[in-house]
Amino acid sequence: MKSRYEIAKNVFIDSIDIDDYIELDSAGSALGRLEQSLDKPLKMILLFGKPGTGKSILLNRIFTKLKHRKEIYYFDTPSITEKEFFHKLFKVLTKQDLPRNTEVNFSALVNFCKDLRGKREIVILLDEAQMYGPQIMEKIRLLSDSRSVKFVVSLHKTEDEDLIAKEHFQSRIWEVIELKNATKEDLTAYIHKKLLKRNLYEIANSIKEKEMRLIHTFTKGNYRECNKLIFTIFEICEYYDKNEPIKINYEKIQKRIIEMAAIKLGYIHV
Amino acid sequence: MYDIKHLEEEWKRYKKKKRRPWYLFISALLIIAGSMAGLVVYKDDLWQLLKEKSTKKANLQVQLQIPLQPEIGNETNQSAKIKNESNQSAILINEPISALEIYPPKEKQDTVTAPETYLEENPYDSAKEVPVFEEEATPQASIDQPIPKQEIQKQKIHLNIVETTSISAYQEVEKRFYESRDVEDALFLARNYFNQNKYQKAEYWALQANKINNNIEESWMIFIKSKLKLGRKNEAMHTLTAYIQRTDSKQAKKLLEQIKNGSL
Repeated sequence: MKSRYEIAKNVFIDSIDIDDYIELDSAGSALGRLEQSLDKPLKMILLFGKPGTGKSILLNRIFTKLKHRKEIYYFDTPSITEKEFFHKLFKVLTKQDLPRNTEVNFSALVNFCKDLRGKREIVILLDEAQMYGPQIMEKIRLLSDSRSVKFVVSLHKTEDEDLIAKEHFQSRIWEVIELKNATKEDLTAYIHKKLLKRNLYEIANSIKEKEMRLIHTFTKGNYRECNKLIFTIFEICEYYDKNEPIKINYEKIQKRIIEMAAIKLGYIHV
Repeated sequence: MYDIKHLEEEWKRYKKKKRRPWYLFISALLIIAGSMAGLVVYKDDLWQLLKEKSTKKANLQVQLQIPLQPEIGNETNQSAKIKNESNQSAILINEPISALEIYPPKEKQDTVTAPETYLEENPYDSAKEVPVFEEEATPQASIDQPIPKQEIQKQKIHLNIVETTSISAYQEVEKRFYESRDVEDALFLARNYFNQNKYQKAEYWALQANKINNNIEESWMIFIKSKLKLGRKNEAMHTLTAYIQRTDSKQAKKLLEQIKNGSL
């Protein structure tokens, strides 16, 4: 028989699956702002925040929501080379595959985009944009100047990435949406909603407020870190449930187990 | 699956590490509390010990700094010499005058005995001065009668009291007297100057005490005895007679008798 903790831990496997999306107030607000921004005649929208703040899932969600209403494309994986990126872009814009052994003529592509103005309004969501080199970013900027292609650029918020933002986009980005780490209340809601979505009410109820505070302290409100920590906690619980049930309190997730998981993940250095 | 046992060990180590500052803090707190409690409980003992140490030190300094008074006769010098030799039996006092009880109550005398050698060698016999403080002297302890050896021994204990109060201390009391006009200060100075054979000063201070309160017998006695010591017997007799007429004092009468007998 499957331990209930085994089911619970799988809830927290990190993914950007839209089905796993948890509607939180802060995330809902970011989604609303992004949707509004896309309706405006903006060239580029910068979405940034620390890793694990929900940028990818937000892009995924907006893509899912608007894909039937708008011409929207989601580049979830960054292209390593310029050639690969423009091949992908060419296909999106022209809806044709680039013939083999040919390269995209960038000037021709810009002109093509300019011709599209007023005919089509294309939205391209670029996830992990910090992976693109400065040259590609410069070309993205030129393409956005055509006003027929809007780019939503998602970046990690680090010093370097801020620099990229400054250098390449500052004058062109008309909308900036920053995603922040979750507050304790947001994180509590996130964990509870995730568990309740799988009808794991008892387990959700076993994580008390004090323990939630501890989890928030360890993860600093980062959703990805939270997923990792909760997964590890439930994995330890699963072990005790199966092997040493005397050591587990089914009413309440013990602080000891949370600390053990934190040690395992390196939040605590012994 | 993780190595849970290892993880548990790690967690135990973490908890120990986390609690260490608390243990240290609590230990420090207990030590401080213990020390405070100890201080409160043994405060008096410690204070006494410190006081004794500082008194001993001060006495030693005073003894080294103040040479023997030139007025002190051979008897006193000899006495001082003996005292130095038998230092272990000497009681050093650096207290204010009130503490310099030369004639303590008899009950106290019975409790302490002076060394035999001291009794024999010390000619500075305070027993001769006993009548000065007649209220404390028993009728049997009269100067006329030979004092039993046992009695002498008891009284000689007081000779062991060395007044080590420095000159500056007397000056301090004098200064204080001029400010406060405290009869006790004047009496103290008179008494101590008399004991130091400084009869002129003793007479002066006895007079000062008398000016403030002329009902203190001790001041009269010091005044008269100082006059006698200064060789002004007629003046002394005149004053003593007048005092006897006024007060009918037993002690004054005894003093008069002693003067007449020439035993003083």
